[in-house]
Amino acid sequence: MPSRASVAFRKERKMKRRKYIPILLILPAILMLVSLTIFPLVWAFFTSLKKMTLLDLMLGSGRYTGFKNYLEAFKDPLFWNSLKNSLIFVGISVGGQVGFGLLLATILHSRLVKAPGIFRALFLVPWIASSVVVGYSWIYILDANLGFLPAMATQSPFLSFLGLNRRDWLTNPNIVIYVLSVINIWKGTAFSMLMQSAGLQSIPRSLYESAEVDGATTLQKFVFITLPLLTPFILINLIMTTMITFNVYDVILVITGGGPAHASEVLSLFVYNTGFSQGELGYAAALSMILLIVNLSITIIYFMMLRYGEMRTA
Amino acid sequence: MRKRWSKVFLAYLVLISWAIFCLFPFSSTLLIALKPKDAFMSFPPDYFSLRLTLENFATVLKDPNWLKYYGDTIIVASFASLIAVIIGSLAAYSFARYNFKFKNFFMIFILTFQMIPGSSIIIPLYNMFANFNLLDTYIVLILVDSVGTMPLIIWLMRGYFSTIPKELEEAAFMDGCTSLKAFWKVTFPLAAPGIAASAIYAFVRAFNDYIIARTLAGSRIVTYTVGLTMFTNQYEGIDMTLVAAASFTALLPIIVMFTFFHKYFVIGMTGGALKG
Repeated sequence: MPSRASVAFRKERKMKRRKYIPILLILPAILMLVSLTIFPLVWAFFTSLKKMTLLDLMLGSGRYTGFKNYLEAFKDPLFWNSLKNSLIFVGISVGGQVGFGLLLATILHSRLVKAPGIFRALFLVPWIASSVVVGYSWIYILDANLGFLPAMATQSPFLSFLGLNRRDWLTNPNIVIYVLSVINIWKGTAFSMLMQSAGLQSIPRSLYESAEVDGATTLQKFVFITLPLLTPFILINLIMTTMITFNVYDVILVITGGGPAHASEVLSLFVYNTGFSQGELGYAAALSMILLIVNLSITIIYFMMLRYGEMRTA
Repeated sequence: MRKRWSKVFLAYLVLISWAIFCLFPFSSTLLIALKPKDAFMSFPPDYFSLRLTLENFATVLKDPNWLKYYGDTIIVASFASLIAVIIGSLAAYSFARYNFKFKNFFMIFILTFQMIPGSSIIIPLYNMFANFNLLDTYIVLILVDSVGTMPLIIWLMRGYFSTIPKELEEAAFMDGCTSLKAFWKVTFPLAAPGIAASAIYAFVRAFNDYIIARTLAGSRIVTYTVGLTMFTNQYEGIDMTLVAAASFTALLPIIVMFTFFHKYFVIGMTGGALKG
């Protein structure tokens, strides 16, 4: 049996040691995050001031040219082209994902169907599949020579009637970015559906019941109860999806690689291709920085909207 | 409550159409995987006859390269998940339990990492690891993958730890446990659902990753996503049936995991915003 005094002493020592424990516990995470995120970003900033190719990297050469890479980006038609593609891709994807997500979530929440859980699980499958598997699956559908859709169109006059009898889904520069946007809607809608479901669950059922007593129609209930109460969730969903979609390029990389002739090259893919296909690491680092600034601006808007959402719900 | 049949019909119509849309690409992949090679030699390819074979699956599952890719993927994803969950939980525990200087600063600091997209650091990471001669190693893929999921896991786990009453730990403390032991014996088991969700989230992210594996590795260490693209280069598109079979074998484990851990999946992938 230890004496009272020694227990008190041990306790005191323990308390002293405990002061450092919280810092010790977060230290590994902070160290990893800093060394694998902040450090590379600082590194990228210095690289972005250099004229540097893949070859230079191997030889350890490359010279400082100041902000020349940044100026070059603003004069580069391919940069503006990728920005335009990003706006189309993000605009259609986000609109489609949030819209369809709202539609599906509303129906699943409405008690009109049996076993909504099974439908919900099925809808999540495109979202959890890897981008490469997804990419190939769509190549198998749209490819000019082996695609399922072109093959179907030769057999079915109905598809021809709908105008779906083309073979250039992935090779026509005028439509390829829209095709990829549809694929992205297909893949990402599940996330929006889940977010909106959470929003719908936060609305008390009693509101609908009292509206029903007053004789409200389904549409009236949706417009006057669901939409206003769901607005904060929709806003957050819109911004989050925008942030995510802006950085989606793995599926595009698999399906078209940005082609034909840069027609489907979004900004993040342009950065990647500049670095690894062209080997222009200095220029690509500058583009990475621009991409980061674009992303941080969206983040700031996100936080402002979050504030707005809190004010509305408060 | 009255349900008019037209409304019910419309609801089912939308849901069933979307379900078909969701599954259509996967079912056509399966169909191609079940076709003999010569079905795709000419246009239009032969989709509609009933000539089916399991040969492609047999070839893929016996292919030592493909099995190696698969093994690499599982090694990377398992360790990345383990590291992200352990280190993430330790930090989350600290945020949930202790008050210390600059705590809020550190929490916001970690949240900002969530906002830094992979696409803007992949080139710097490549430069950095090329400089240190660390490209194409397990350790690089494991570290980069685990860092990608860590901020979200910290926030998710912090939520879980805050719901566990402090008194339970204090009781263990009184019985002479060290705080680390109290954490392992009392808190960790109680936070099991959160840990499961975090582990699945980290595993799936690393398992499905393509960009990191392609950029920072790809010749000695090959994950299955990169391996799939190598099939095509190897056979120049003629053996698309093989790629389809391989894709399908790669999709299956995720679907199986998803079926069993559906709830944890949703919690993890949405960062705990939704509880399944």
